[in-house]
Amino acid sequence: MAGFQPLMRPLGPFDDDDDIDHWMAQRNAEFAARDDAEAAGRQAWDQATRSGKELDAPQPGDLIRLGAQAIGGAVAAGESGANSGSDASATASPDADAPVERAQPVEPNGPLLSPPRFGFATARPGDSISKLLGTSDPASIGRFLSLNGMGRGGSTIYAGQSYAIPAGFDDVTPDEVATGGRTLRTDNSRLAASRAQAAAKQAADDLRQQRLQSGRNVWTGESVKPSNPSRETAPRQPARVAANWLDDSAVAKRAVGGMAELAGNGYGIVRGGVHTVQGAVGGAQFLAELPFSPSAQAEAAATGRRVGDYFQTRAAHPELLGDDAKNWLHSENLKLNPDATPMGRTMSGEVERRFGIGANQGETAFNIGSLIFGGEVAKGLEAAAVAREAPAVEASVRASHEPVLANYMLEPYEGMGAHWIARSTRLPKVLGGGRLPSWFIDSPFNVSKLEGATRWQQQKYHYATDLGFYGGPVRGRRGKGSGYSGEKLGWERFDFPGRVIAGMPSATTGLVGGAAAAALNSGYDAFEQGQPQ
Amino acid sequence: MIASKFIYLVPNFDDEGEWDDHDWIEYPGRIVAGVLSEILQGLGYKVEAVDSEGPKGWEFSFWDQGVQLWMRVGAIEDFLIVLGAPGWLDIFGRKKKVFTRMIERLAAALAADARFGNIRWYTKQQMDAGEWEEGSMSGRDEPPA
Repeated sequence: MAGFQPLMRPLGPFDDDDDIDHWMAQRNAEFAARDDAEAAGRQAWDQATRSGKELDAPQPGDLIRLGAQAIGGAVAAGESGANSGSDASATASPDADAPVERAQPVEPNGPLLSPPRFGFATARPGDSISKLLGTSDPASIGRFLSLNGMGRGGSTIYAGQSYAIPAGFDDVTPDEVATGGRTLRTDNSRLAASRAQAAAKQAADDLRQQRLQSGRNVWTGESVKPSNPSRETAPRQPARVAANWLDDSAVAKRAVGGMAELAGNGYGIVRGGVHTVQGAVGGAQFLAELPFSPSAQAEAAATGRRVGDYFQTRAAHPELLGDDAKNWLHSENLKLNPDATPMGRTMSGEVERRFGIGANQGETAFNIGSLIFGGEVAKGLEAAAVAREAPAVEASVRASHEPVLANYMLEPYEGMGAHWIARSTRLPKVLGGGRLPSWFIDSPFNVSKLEGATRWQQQKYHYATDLGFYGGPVRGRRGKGSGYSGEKLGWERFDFPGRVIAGMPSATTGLVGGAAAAALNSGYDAFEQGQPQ
Repeated sequence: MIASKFIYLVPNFDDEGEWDDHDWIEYPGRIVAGVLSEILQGLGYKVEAVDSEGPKGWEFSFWDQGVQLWMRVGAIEDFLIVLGAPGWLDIFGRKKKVFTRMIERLAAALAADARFGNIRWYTKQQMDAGEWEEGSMSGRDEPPA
């Protein structure tokens, strides 16, 4: 062999397979030479120790260098007819390509003045510095790093490579202790992070496996397919025959698909509710993080830019709005209309398609239902609150007011209710300046009439939400002290935001709430479209 | 409201509303509102029909020089009359001027009208402070500034 070549040399581009083969052969030869060199180096070191000669090989690479020089020297000596295995061969000058340049003999002749302060060990897979040393003492690790020239280049131990193992630590320098401590801390942190990452990955793998086994979407956990127990339990051959027959029957696929769509409807309604809650939670979390999280701020800014870009382009090219509407209608048609997409090729494909469409229909129904029935829900909640406080109100009013007033105020309220926008409000002059239409001004969306309330409850609410309401008459009584005034009864008025919010009729509250629910659901869906399903 | 004033007065005629042993069919105040509407018409204002506002009372709008003015008659103890100039914007102060002129003319007309007695005028601040309540004598028998 002409000489030991560095293992890590720059790799050139490979033009063809011949180059790769050549490179592979060369690499294999280099690895073989490396082993030979290391063995020869060990032998040279042992001989030097026994004969008392001093060699300088502070790093494991130096041992390989010694061996390579010994082999090279022998080859050279063989070629030139000189004696092989001489000391000169072990201390020959390194060639120009040598990766380690410190393998120089210090004292070619003479006794070894002090015993070597280190031995050698070959790392096995899974070894670490602590394992090789048998201790995690920072001083030992620092000396090891220093001895092996690893301080700055990292602390990774490569299996199969020889490392110098320090034998004594009484002369460890403060720098070595510091380096050892630092490396120890860094490695421990890295190991802890690696273990945590592995545990998280394992948990995620387990979850996905669990979802897969239970027939759910491995990413979202949603049940994307209805279970088909018969297919799972039936014997293989008959099932395949039946499946083929069903796959070819459009009538059967239509009938079973219809049932799947119906099941999807129910699933979609539930999914709409769940998504609404998830959207609300996600939105709240995002808003909470916004002041502190740079990523949330970046996301908000990006969304703002997208919205701004959209309006800018639509303002510049209004004709695009028509395309947008057309695209939206097309996508809704695909989502909701079973006739808009072709029937599945197989029965299971058709079931999956119709179930998905059914789920979309159910979710859309949830959104519409939120708008329509939101008011009813809000009114129900309001009525429950009125009924809940009624006993306490009655006790308090009877205890604090004369019987005539108390009896009158505790009778059920049957009036016109409290108007959110006053009936005296006029349209702007440009719109004629007339009254607002009664279908709106006297509608449940503008009038609060508390369900099941007494006069006391309704008028107290009215007083709180309407600055123009001061009080009213009491039946059969005229003259000074005959009526009631909110001020005199100790009622309080809300401030402006309170009047706007609390004065909002429950039908409007429900509509706004329902719209918010639908928006949250749609927002969740829009966000989720970018997620793996 | 751009501006508002309040009157507490006692009519010398009955205006008790109607009751069906169950609830109000008609709240008190419609007749008082009708009489006040006539007075304003006599002063040259264009007046619209009186409308019920339930327990709040009876109200109507009237106009002077294109400015909308508004009156509500509520039966609280005696009768509480609320006068206002609706709106939020009055850049040149025209609405306020028309409203002030109307108050002066109405005060003179009421003082001369034998159908009403014990007339007391209040500002919004006095109303909000509860100074119009029973026993309070802070009201004036002429419109406050």
